[in-house]
Amino acid sequence: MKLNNYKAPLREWFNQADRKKEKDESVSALKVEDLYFSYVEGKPILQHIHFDIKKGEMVSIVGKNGAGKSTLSNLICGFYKPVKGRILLNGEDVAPLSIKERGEKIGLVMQSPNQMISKPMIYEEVALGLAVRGVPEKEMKERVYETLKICGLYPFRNWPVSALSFGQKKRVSIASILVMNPEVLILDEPTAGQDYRHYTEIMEFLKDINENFGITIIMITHDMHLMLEYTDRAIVIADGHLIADDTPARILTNEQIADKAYLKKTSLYDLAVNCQIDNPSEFVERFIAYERQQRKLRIEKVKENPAHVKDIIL
Amino acid sequence: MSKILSYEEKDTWIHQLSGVTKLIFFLLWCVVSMMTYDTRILILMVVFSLFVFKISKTQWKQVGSVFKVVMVFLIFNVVAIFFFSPDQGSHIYGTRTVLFHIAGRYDMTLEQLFYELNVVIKYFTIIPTVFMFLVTTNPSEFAASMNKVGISYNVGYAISIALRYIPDVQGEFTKIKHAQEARGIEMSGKASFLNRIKSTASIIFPLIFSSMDRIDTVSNAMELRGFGKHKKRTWYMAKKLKRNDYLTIGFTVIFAIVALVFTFADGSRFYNPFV
Repeated sequence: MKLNNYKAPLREWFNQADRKKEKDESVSALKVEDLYFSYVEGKPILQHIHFDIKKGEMVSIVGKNGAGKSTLSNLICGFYKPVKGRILLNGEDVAPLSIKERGEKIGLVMQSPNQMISKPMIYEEVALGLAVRGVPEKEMKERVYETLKICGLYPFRNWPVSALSFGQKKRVSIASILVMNPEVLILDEPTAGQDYRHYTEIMEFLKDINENFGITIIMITHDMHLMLEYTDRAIVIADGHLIADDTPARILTNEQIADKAYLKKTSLYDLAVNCQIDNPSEFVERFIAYERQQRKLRIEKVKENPAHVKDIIL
Repeated sequence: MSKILSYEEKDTWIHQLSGVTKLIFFLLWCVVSMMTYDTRILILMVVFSLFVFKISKTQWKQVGSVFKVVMVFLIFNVVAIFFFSPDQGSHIYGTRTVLFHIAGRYDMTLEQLFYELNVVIKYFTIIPTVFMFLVTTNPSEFAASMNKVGISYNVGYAISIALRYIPDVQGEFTKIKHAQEARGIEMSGKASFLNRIKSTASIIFPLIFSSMDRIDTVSNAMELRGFGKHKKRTWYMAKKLKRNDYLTIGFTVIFAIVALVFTFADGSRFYNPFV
């Protein structure tokens, strides 16, 4: 690619573009200490897992298939018991808590919606968590409708779940967790099976509740774009080991880590290197931040005037 | 995590037997156990099946929970027999030794106790062999072996799929259960027994329906890949019958004949200690 004409302007843009805002996080929301897990003795699935997620962070957990990402979320929620190590929620060991007790603080959206949905109707499904907590009928209805609107399911509220597509069911399962206002939200592949529009809507919504309500969000994903665009930090797991815990841009620009975890190095990095920008990972970060901002503007434009909808679909 | 009632690879001679051998053993074993009420033979069979269970290295955690369910049914069965025909024992054995009177037409008789004891023993002749059969037989190998002895491969495949889905459906159940618990339905030991049963039932029914749906999906997927197009197919997991297989089958057949002859020698299938 011939870049000579663009090198100088791009460097200039890089210097002007806003940096990503640094957050001031200090209180630990979820801390994992030297976690070790195996199904069969001697064949560890996870070992020496160690990280500390602060309140209000939005973190992605990435790694190739079978790396142990979902197992990690199952351990956090108490579906499995760790062989060794501790998990601390708000500084307290969760080991004595049952799944239900952990569920009051941690909301898990599983990978497959079919495993989460147990009621025939969408409204009932989303309301289930509130109903068992004894939330009054009127408040329940309000909260369910509000969540359904956010997830783009309000028009289907009286539909049976069986009439929905996979992507829609996935949104039902997200809605049924969101409605309970968890402190920590874990999403296993939140965007699998979603088209670009719903992907953006869900992610913008998650970003929104993360920023405005301080809900800590952990996303397990394969989607490098999602990790770059929406999370402040990424934890990379490969073959049961934690191999990196850094900003997504720095991870995606680190060849060694990217190779080990089968991540695809972003082409933005190559662009920055080709244009002799001193700090390529910083460039990637600023570019993504800029792009996000632009899209937000477009979405706001559409909200004012729905005729512009083709602008966001591009 | 060990799955209940599903195949687990281990190195014992029972695992190495062909699935067909184990099926023949299991079927004949059941026939004998159903036909005979001869307590002596039944006790011999219990001892033998416990022995086989032991050398198959089956662990309690693989079968324990199913065993408990079977026990519930057994108790239910025994009570129901007494409730509906309290004099079945005297009717069979021809004598009536009353131990104590309960109420109305219900007397506890020695004959009835003995008769029901036989029913209980029958259960115990079958239970270990069912468990042993399920956890030592590789479903794929079983389908192949059945076809090798002349059963249509469609039938063999259907049975092997059924066995293969046992762990799948269990896994599914566990995941759904966890998802429900995480949403606030307590199902661990911290909930009352009755509530646990209620919440479990609310999962099981949707699971049964979704498993039914899966039958359709799987059969469509198999048809798309050409399953059932030809009269014959090849097998990857097929096992030839070896020396041990012939010995086992031979032993089973001889045992069945001897046991049945012995049972019916006096013209009745009941062993009568009362005359």
